[in-house]
Amino acid sequence: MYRYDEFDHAFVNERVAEFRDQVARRLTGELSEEEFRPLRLRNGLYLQLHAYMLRIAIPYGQLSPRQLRQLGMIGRKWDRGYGHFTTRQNLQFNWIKLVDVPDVLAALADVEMHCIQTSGNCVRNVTSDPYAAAANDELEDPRVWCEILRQWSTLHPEFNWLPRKFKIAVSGAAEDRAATAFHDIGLRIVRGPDGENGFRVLVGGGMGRTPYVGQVIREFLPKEHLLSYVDSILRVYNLLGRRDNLYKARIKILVNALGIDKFREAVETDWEATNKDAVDLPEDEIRRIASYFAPPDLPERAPRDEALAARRESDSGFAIWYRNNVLAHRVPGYASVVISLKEPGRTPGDASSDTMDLVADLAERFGHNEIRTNYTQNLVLPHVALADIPALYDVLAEAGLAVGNNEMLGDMICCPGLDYCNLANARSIPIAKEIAKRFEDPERQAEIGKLRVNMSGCINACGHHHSGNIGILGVDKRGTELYQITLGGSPKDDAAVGTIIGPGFRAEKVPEVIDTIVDTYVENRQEGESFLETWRRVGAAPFKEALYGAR
Amino acid sequence: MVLVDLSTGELIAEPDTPATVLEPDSNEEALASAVGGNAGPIAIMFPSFADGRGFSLARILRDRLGFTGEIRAVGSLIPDQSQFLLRSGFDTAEIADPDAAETWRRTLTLIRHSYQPSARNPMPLRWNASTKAAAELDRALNATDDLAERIRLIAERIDGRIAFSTSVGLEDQVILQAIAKSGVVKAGADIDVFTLDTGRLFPEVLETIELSELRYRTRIRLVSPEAREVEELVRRDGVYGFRRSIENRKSCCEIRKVRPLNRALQGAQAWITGLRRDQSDARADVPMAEWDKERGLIKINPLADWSEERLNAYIDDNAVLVNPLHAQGFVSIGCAPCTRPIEPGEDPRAGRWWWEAEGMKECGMHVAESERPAAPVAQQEKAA
Repeated sequence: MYRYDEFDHAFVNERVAEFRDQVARRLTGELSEEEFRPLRLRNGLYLQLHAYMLRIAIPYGQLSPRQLRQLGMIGRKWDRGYGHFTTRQNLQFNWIKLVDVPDVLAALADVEMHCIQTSGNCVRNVTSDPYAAAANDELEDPRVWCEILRQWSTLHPEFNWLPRKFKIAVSGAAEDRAATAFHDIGLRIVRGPDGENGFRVLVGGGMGRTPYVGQVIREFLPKEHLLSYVDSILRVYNLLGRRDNLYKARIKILVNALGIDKFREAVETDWEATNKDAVDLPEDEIRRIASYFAPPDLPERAPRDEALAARRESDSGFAIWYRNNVLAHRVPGYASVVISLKEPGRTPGDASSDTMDLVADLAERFGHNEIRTNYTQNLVLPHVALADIPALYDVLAEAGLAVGNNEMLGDMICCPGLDYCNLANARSIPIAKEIAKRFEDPERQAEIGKLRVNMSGCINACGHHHSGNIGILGVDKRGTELYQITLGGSPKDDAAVGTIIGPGFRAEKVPEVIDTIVDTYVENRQEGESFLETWRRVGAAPFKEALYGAR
Repeated sequence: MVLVDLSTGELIAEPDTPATVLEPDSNEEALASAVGGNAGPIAIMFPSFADGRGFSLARILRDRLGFTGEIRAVGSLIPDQSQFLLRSGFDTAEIADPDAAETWRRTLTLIRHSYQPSARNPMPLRWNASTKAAAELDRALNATDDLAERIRLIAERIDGRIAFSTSVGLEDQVILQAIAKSGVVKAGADIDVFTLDTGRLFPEVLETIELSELRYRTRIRLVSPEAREVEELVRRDGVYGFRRSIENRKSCCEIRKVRPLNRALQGAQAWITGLRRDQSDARADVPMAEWDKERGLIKINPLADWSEERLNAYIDDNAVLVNPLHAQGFVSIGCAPCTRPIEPGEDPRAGRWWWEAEGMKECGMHVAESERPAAPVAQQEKAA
């Protein structure tokens, strides 16, 4: 993984010193709260319902054991012994004190981490495929380009005061596991006309109150021009994006107001006028960065492990976990393992400091020192030998982490909701816990099959409800929490925004509603059909009838 | 209202009135006409500090339209934006509260590393477009043997302030003469000639500066050390404390030369020196031009490959004004107490700190920061 050299260390330390200076000026009153706010946000510091929340960048979701342990230490020392993994591959601490923040930032800098631009109207943490360099459908490692974008966007002099926040995701595989179509810029590495890899560039995707699937602005961009092209998109957005209305300030609104063709024309015109050599990275520098991402040396092993196969026969709990949480690897004899943070009854995405330490240990013992976070709020050990999987499972099971629900109904994406967030209109965590309990039985989940259920506690859609097969949105109707259901969303290659199925439901009804929807799907599905396939074939009618027919 | 110079953080005493004030929604035509009209300052209005359109406008003016005059940020801004302004192409920022000027000056140096190239980036760059530019300049300078041509190349390739630190030694006088003769300053090059007034200079050095200013029609700035630091040093070590140990001597050089030098170099894009390879072993490998990572500028040594014979021949042929001390056997001239004449055949730098061992005799100006001893006086902040 990328290693800081003197330059990066010096920079991050300067940034910590700068923030200390800003905090000091706020405390003396030299900075007003209005002036301080965007500065603290650019260091990941939010003022939430009960306390400050600190959002730590995990660039493209990659962590070393040392980093994860340091996060555990920070949780113990300055928070309440746990953290929350987010849908943007970051980590949040919910109970940090303002006076401690410079020290927390310094502790992060010690392990080559930071909170730079995890909030504010600037380019945010670049997200990616959690299975990079492990998945067998990968064309090229996206992390190299994520790191290039991370450096380029860090304190960019021109683009730090954009109309609104800006999110970029990169995927280098055949399957989109980074939800690129729901980002301000989505980058897919594709094979070009001459057999060279380049980017298909999507723009204007996003969730929030006005969800859009990103549109193609360029079918093929030669890789070496990534920065100059992204630069031009940002410049057009910076100059033309709306600044009069917070809710209409994202690039998706601009793209849809102009139309993709006019927007493309503006970007291409700017790009033509750009001195690309001055912006694009020199080849040497791309090579330097790429050299950090060489995959670990994995000696080939037997593609079948007898002990593992026997365990699957004899232990049904193991078998279910294995089926859902162990994914194919490009090197024979290895797999990627998902460590679910979705145990029924617990807050989705939360991990205690002890859990962080444990996962760090496991990554050292079994995982070639690599840990990834994914946007579905779980942890991943990307490189594990098949022969080690039973031992790994036993340690996880003992710690209550062998939850075999990856990509199943129980693997809900969920925002913090009204329990923590001062934007939220409704609770989300308690509802998610209730749903998880209702579907706790792994046999039942297995019968249902893969199903993405996402829930947000307000229209800002941090829980990605628009892209859930089943989406749940908490709203406030005259003082009552109501939950609106959307069906048919998808974050993948068939990206789609879900459709609202009808009037909302009260909190206590939601688990039953989900049950009804799931039953309707199971009754209507044909052999081997996914939820989306059934939905697209039968339409809304049977679901509406099941939900509202009796009224 | 006061105006801050973003390259130094200093206030500008009597600012011009902007020729044009651009609103943040100015279109390409408005930008082009502002550039075309005249070279007077272009002001860009920030209706709110959170409205970042002005950053893009400045970059278009600089990179696309080639505007080289002053770009001024006006309206609502906060000091923490100073570096973003500077690196996007702004020269100055108008601020309402004169008391905030100190904060503006300080925030300019809080962050000293950057990941994006830009026309006026004063910081070392992650991917070193600067290294590349320095290497290219090095090649170009090596390709010509003519000093006047080298000076022209430097002026042509460096966009921004070119600092020239002179000790009024032979080499520096040659460079000063060549700059004057080349006419690059008249043609618009921003060459800042200065000498470090350590407080211990020979009177002959000051006389030579006076005569040089007259003959070469230039101003030579005298850059002084911080009075407080000098007082503290002398209180600790005594008036000639530098004779007692190498550490003391290096402390003295640090405070009287290195820190003032770094201050004078701040915001400069390049730094011209008179280093030559055959001056000492330590200088045997100096290139014509190289990226100085710590100071974030291109260090240029246009006489790097000159021999002593060639230097003397040039001085004779061009009647270069030189320090009268050279005639008394002084070769490399630093502060008066630490310089003595040398005998024919001695190492040219034998007259500097003659009580110290050979090979280590650098004041620190031309030594990487990481290889210098820690700052000597109580306060440890880097010379800004």
